[in-house]
Amino acid sequence: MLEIRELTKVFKNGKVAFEDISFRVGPGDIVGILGPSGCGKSTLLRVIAGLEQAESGVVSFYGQQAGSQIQDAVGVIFQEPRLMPWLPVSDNVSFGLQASRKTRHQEASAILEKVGLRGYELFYPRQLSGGMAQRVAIARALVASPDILLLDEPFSALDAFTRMQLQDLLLEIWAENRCTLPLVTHDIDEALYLCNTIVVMQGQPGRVAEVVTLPADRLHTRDLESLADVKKSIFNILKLQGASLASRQSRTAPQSTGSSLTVSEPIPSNTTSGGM
Amino acid sequence: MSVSPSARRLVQRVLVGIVIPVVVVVLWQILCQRGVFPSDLLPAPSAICQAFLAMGSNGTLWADVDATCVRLVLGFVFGALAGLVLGALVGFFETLEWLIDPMIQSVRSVPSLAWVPLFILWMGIGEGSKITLIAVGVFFPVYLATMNGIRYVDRKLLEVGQVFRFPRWKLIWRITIPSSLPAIFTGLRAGLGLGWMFVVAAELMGASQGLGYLLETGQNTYAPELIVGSIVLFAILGKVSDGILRVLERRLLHWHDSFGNRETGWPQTRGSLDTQAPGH
Ligand SMILES: Nc1ncnc2c1ncn2[C@@H]1O[C@H](COP(=O)(O)OP(=O)(O)OP(=O)(O)O)[C@@H](O)[C@H]1O
Ligand SMILES: [Mg+2]
Repeated sequence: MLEIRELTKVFKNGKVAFEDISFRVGPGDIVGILGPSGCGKSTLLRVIAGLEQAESGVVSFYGQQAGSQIQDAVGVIFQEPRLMPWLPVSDNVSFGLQASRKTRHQEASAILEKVGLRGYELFYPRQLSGGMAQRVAIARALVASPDILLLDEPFSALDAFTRMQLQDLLLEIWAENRCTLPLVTHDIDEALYLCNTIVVMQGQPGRVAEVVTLPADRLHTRDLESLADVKKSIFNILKLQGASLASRQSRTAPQSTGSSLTVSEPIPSNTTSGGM
Repeated sequence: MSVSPSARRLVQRVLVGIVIPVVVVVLWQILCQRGVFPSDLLPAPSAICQAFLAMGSNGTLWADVDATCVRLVLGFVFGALAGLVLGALVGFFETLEWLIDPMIQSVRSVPSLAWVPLFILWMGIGEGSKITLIAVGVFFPVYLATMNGIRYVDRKLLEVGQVFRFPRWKLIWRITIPSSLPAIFTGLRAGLGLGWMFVVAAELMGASQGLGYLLETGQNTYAPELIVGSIVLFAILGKVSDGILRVLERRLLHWHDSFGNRETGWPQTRGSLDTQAPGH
């Protein structure tokens, strides 16, 4: 459904954001892109969205290579809400819709109900709390019913409680629409809770260090006990990578034979199902 | 009891605002009556009022006020329109910026009164040269504010529109223009202030009507009450015209985050917000 092959992004000033990134996202997947700050996660998402052009490599949707245009079926939720401050909530939600005023209002109200903001239609962004604003942003992305919804650390600016609420909201919506969700995050717990596959990025410029597929019977659980082994292995990748790239390679090589720095296929389960 | 909190706040503000003017006028009147100020230099407020009431009742005052206001409005409209259009073009198109902006910036550094002889030469001392001078004064702040407002529109908001695949005109109409309105309004208000300055300059330069003409008459006929009275009228008209723009601004830009803080620089609680509750 979404495939990324050997993607490299170089900024105008010569800085390499990431290089040689490859992974594949199936329909209905929630794929976490996990990595430390500055490893190029946001940039990767922007390239996928079509907001920036890659240096080399391919992004393809449904097997079709994406040109320089922004894809029809793609929606984006940014790290900040990015609401239009001059529009009330309902107009912000229906910002991307092309329809009569009445339909727009109806659709906005329906979605606002879903994200728990009924009654706030006429509020202006400056009158909203951070969590409410982010929910409006989620509603705005959903109203266009995208097949692929790109999320760039959508909950990172929120308090723990609101974050948990919105994570559950995202899962509810996903269960309803079965849209594909590439999700950038630097929170391991969030990735473990939401995702079925986790692409671990490392380094500057960022590369794919590992692609972890979570066991199907442990998806969407906040019981991180049962995922402790997975968490530990991801943690090790991130930590070791920080120390030395070369040593990580030699350390992991015997464990997962097929894994190289660029994993184009989800790694079967050497690292993840060790505890099973 | 039935007065809304925001209306009460407004009344409060106006009452507080006129305290100092009232005290000054009363003191002034008392001091004049005691002969502290020579009345041929600084007439008493009562004398000024009398003189202006007399002019008001025989109609000449209104003709003067009218002439000045018409000049100001016409100059403001032309200057602001030119500033908006050119500022927008230069803000949108980088090539135009390279082409036009250096020229406009260098023209801007000419002290505007230096244009007067040229305009009089071209258009005589009639209305044309006066209105042009006022328009020139209004133009620059509006041009600068519009250009900057449009050029520095938040890229992050534009990306929201891009993700929805808005064509360029739609990005401009739905994101760039609304988000640059606060800057544009600031420019309009600055332009209006300069407009009042230039209206006086233009009328001092030779006019047979208008408040500036009244000022000059006062000087030539040793009538200080005309001068002081005209100054007070300028103050009132300036305040009223700025008030009109402010009402418009409040209407259009009530969403603006820093609105209401801009004038004082201090955060204020706004009554209309405190009382709002989510409907159900
Ligand atoms: N426009 C740009 N020009 C040059 N370099 C840039 C630009 N934008 C980002 N970078 C650089 O690219 C690298 C990756 O940035 P990016 O924002 O993708 O990181 P990130 O993984 O999303 O980090 P975070 O988790 O902090 O959001 C950073 O080192 C940053 O300095
Ligand atoms: Mg980022």
